[in-house]
Amino acid sequence: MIIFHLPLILLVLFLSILPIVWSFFPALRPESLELFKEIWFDGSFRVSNQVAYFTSLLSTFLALFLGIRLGFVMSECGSRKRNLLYSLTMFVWILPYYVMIPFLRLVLDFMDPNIFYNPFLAFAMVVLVKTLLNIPMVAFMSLAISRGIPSSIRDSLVIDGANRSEMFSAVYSKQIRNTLKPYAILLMISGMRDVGVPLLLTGGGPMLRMGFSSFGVAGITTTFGIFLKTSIDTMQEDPIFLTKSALVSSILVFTFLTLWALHKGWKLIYPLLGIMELLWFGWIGFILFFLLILCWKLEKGWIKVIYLVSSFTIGMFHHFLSPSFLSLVSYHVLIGMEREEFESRRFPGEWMEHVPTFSWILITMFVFFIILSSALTDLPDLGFSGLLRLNLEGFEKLWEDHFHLNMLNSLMIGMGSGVLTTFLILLSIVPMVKGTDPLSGMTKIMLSTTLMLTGMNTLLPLFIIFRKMGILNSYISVILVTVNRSLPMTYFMIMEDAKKMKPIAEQAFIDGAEGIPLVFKVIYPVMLPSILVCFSYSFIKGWTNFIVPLIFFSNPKMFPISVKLFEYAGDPTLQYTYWNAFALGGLIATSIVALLSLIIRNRISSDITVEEI
Amino acid sequence: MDGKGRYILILIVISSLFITVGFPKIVLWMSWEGEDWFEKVADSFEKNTGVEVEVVYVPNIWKKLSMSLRGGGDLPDVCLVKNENLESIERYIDLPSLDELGLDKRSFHENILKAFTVDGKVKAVPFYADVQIAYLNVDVFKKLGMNLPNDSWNFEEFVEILKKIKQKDEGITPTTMGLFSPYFFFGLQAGIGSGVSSDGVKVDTEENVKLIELLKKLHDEGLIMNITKKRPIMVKMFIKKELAILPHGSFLIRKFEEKKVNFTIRVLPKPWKGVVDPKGFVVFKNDENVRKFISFLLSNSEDFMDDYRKIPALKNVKLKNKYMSTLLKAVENGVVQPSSVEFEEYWDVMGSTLELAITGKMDPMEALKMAQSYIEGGR
Repeated sequence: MIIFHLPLILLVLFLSILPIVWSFFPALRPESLELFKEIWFDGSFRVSNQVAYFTSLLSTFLALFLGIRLGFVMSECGSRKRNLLYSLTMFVWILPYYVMIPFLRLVLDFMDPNIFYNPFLAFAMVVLVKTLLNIPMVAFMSLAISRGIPSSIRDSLVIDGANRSEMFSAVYSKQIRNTLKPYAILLMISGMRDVGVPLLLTGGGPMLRMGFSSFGVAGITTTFGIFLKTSIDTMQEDPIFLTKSALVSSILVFTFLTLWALHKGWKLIYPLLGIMELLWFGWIGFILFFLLILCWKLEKGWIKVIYLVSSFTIGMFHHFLSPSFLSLVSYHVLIGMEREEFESRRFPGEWMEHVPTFSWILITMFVFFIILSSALTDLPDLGFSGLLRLNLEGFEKLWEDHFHLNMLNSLMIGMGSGVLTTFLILLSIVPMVKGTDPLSGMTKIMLSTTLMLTGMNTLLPLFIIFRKMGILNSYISVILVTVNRSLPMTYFMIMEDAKKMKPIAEQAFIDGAEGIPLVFKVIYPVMLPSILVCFSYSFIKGWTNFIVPLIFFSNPKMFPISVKLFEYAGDPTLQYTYWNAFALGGLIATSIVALLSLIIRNRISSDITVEEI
Repeated sequence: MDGKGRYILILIVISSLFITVGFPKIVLWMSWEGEDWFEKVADSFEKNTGVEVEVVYVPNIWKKLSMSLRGGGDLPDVCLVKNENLESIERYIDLPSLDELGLDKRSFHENILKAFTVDGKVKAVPFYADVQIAYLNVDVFKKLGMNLPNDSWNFEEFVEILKKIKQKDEGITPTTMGLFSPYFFFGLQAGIGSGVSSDGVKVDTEENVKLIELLKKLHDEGLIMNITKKRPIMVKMFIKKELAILPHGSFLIRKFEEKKVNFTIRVLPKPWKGVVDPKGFVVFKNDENVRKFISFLLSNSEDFMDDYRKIPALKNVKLKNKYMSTLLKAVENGVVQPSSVEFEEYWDVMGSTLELAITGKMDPMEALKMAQSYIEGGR
């Protein structure tokens, strides 16, 4: 049975674990330790650390706060309203962020061309857009979980005279929050390394004095993702960007361990938090180290308060808050704090559900309106007066630029990713159904690691590895990374179905089916719908992939739709923009995703179980 | 498959191989203006010689080219680049010189030729140059009852004009500039601050501090509106007669003509030097077809230079456009960006430096010193 899991394990080892280990290679040379130290204390690294935590924490908190409410509204309202909300949420979910964000930027530029030089507004916009992108998934999951709540609980509350607001606080919010805790951790970690939103919106700026150093320039929206991407853009030397990747990976692992350990109630994490304080602040970190040791030994809340106040004070004095402090705060805001009472008092009455609902309808309709009108009129060129002029130049531009070749590239990446993922999943199904694979525990751990820890921090080492292998400018490089990113979700999704499949397989075995016929004539045909979902999921990931081809492909002939659109109007630094072509291309890209999403739509909204989440 | 079908299949495979391998092809990467013209010349070259030329438009050409050089990706046969990137390309590939490409140095303008010289050898085929000039919105000046300045105006007069415009009509923006743009600062630095010499890039000087303080003052007084990296907005303001003076690259002439804007151009007010921005072809595959194609491009470049209002690198190109005398004056008065790796570092860091210094987040000298260490550190 080991042989069935082996290809998947090898792939994940190569694409998730090796890059992280590889990025530490420069540290093996004694002379490079100095470089590690320099970057660890470097202003741009420390600014991006702080920005990564804050943007991710706020956007995750807001996405959970609003998404859970949207899910609640969808589960409680009539079918017509539910369908409307569902379709609009689906629209935002399938609309690639590299299409949506440039339009938001365009609208903001109309209002004030220097809007992103305002630190507060730039930061707020990055947080809000990230929130907007995360809301659909949270809402879908909330909807799925709410369907699992027994109707008897709901009925008894109605008999007791509870209004909707009270019902939300007493049952839904608590249940959904508890179930979504691991997802909150995932959102938090992936938000820290995000590159897409700040890249398309602010470019990491406006710059901060403290972030200006000899290793880079970081600003108020420079997340870890942007911090790392700048290294490639400015052609820094390999040891520098490997060291940067290694340090970012370390912080991500540390944050994940902290959030997970605290979520599971493992107090042993406190000494690790203390060690991080020592590394971050030097000798003054000893005070915080001892406070954290006391937290571990005495388990008293007031010591934790003293620690938090002290770490904040020292952090402000040094200009940079420590990862330990920020991780602890993140835990309390996202997972630890019980908010039911607070919520029921703050959001009484019906407006609690109407305001987010109508805001959501307004935002999504506005985005759709801007894209459609840009595709067919002179909107961006002439401002809103351009809405009156029909303009079909976009079609011409796409035709002249052989846009179909970009579609073909996207198709190759999508198909390649879909086929390879499906192949690996098909192999994994066999031991899943039989339940006899000693490697399944290891596989789950490795896939969870992939889900949590791969991003820009692994892309940079992979850039060097693929360059050495000579496959940088090839479909295979992007396909491999896409498959690696698709595997966790598809594997965990199929795992639940495989459990249900076990009795059927046993019955077939009793009836005389075994070996290859059992797999091909019984297991695969029964699981075909789920296998198709896995294929579609991975295909969509490949089709919409943006950052990976942007970094790996330098030959314009290889560009998929996403990178071509980036060159039409997505890149904020462009001097010549083609908004018509951008909007049309975006609509084409989205319509393909929309078609495929129909396949997985029901799966996401209704079939996902609480265990899978 | 029967025997006949098999033969047909073999024939198709062999023909496809012949089609893909048998015919020579040149791949050209280009950016900036003139994609249509390049396509047209490529077609005409193919008709004359039978050699296909694939023209690929690449918006951020240096980003992609540097990634190809660094990542070992496919390179085009010919690529249009800015002179400032030459030394970086030479770090990876030894480019053929102008002599090796069989072209005569004497047929090119010397100042543009110099911009493409690395270690005494001309390492690219100079094609054209843009230059920074001042666009004056004639309708705005008429509306305000003000006379247009002449080509010999200086920076003090320029500031006086800005003040007058602001006094007369608060609704009109006197001028806009990319205050955080290294491209702008380079020319200002060369004329008003302390310039970048070929010996090295030195930015942390008292003169440059004074220049930053002056720009900050003009910005704070509302005389210069800062619009960095947002060219379409500046263009729209100028077209809508909301902007009086627009210092920018000469490539905008065509855009304003197309939009029927009533404008004229001037050399930048002295001692501000307009940045001369030369572009040329680097050759990655020096074979006969490529050499022929480059000669063909150069000999047919008259239309391109006229249509796009470019300053040709070749001496013997006859031009009809009425702006050429001002453009040539601007080149004489201008400053060419050096071709060096150090200068690329300058480009990477100066945007943030100017942003921090002009917005008052950092003391100008401190910011410039930090930029200097970044440039010298070459991280």
